[in-house]
Amino acid sequence: MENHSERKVDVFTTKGMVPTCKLDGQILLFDNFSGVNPLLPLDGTEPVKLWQMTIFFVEEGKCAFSINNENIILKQGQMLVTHEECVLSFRDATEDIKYFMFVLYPKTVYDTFADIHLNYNKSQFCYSYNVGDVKKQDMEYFHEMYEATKTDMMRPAYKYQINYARCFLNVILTYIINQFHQNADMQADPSSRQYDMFCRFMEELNKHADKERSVQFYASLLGITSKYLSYVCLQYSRRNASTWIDEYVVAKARALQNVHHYSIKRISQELNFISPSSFTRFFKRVTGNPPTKW
Amino acid sequence: MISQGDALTADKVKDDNVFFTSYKGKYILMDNLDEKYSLSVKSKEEVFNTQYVYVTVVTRGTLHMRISGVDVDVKENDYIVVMPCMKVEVFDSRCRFLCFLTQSHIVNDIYERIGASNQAGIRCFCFHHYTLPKSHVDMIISEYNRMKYEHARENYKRKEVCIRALLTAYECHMFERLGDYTEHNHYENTRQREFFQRFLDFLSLYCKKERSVQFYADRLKITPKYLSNLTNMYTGFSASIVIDQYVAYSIKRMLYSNEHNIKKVSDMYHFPSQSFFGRYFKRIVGVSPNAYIKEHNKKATIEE
Repeated sequence: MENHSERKVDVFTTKGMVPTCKLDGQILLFDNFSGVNPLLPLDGTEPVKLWQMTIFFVEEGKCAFSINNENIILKQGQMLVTHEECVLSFRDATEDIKYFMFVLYPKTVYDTFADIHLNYNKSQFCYSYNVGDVKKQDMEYFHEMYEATKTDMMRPAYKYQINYARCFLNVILTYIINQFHQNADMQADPSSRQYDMFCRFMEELNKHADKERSVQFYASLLGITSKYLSYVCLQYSRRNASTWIDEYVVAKARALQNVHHYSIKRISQELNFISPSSFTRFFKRVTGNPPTKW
Repeated sequence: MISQGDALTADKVKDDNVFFTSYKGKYILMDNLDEKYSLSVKSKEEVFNTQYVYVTVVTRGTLHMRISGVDVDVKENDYIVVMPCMKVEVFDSRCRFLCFLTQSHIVNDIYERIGASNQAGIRCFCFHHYTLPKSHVDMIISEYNRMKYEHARENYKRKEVCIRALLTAYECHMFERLGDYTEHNHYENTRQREFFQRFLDFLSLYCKKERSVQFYADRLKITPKYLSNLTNMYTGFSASIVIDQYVAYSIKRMLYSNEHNIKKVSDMYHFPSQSFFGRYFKRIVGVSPNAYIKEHNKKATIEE
């Protein structure tokens, strides 16, 4: 079987894009306040898979995205949050659009989560996105913080620059978590053994999801019984181990379809299914729809 | 006995002529920047501050204060930070000011977070007085207004995290520029001051082991009585109270950080027993260590 390796392409620095402001490898800022649209080179391009988190605020106007093959229209006073592994393309925007945007590289995301006492769990967020309304005064508040970050990033580099930018990200991230992930139970005690177990399970899942789909396999990797593994998962995520595995495999399949445009046959091979039909059955069982209906 | 003036609570500080807001007594903001408030600041009785880092910026006029026996005139564009364990008294004056108080271990935590703890730690029993360039005063005002807005936002989960984040932003800027400011020195470099400084150095070194005045006096090769005279001169308290306050302050910091349980802390500070430790702590702070942890621990920040 061919081993596909995904190349990490940083769309935000290639394709002739110039961020309004940047801290290399940490944070990029984009806005069109000055009348220049820095996202213009993205117009009409192929969907790209992001490995950064983006937070996009629309202050005025309207624009359209395609994310994970779904069409999203963002109106005035809305925000869009995409997490790692989202497949995104920029479709259209009205003339009067006014937006600002944070692009966070993984390290910044991890650090910011740690700042607000949360454990960033990649598998919990990857391939997900959120759209939501932002109240007018909150939008103004975020705008003001964006301006402050921008002004600070324009200044000559100093020791605490990244910390400064992260302070405001803390506030924005707290807002996002409260808005979209209220039920995500992430207030785990990092010193607890059970939580450690859960994190390790997630790591292993990330590594082996394209080969193994049995709870037993992961439990034996961790040296615990499958019953205990499911209990630990329930404790920290309100989902049991097999649900986690199923959803993770489906997310992987979706990503393969969206980025590489693989056929169902190819996907079933990549993910180590016996036959395309067993993959179809699996997919239908988990999502309720056959994979052709993407 | 020291009046527990820690509670710089609304009823103690507030008058109608100042904007006042407090988040659980951990973060307090005060100002009269708004035009609707008059310039005059009424005198306030002396408070003994054991746990707050007390930052005041004057944007117009002059603020007259007395800090542990030293009269200070805080002029326009001046910035004054009063560390824990100092007495603060405000006299009648005419000025526009902003002032924010934060519990000292939270400030310590912020220093550690941004990796500045080796550049600056909080030293008790002192205050710093700087004159800032106008541009930076404006910057502090905008940071302050952001904090004020955050305080006024409706309550939500992890609000404290956000308030702390905004405070961190302020500290980042402060640290970056602290070197450029001109500091006003209010203490003459006398032999007594030198002794006092050395006493504080010894205190931070040995506070875990020794809590007797005799020990520190011996170290400094002076009599206990002279040491008490010195501390009286610079803080207004006798040496034994200064030692107790410092120990309580450092224990509080330990309890806040959540790395050790009460038993361990009591062992670290060489208390003969845990119950003795509990009584000692309660005598100085007013609450038992356990109650203190429940209210002020790092964990309490995130659990709401």
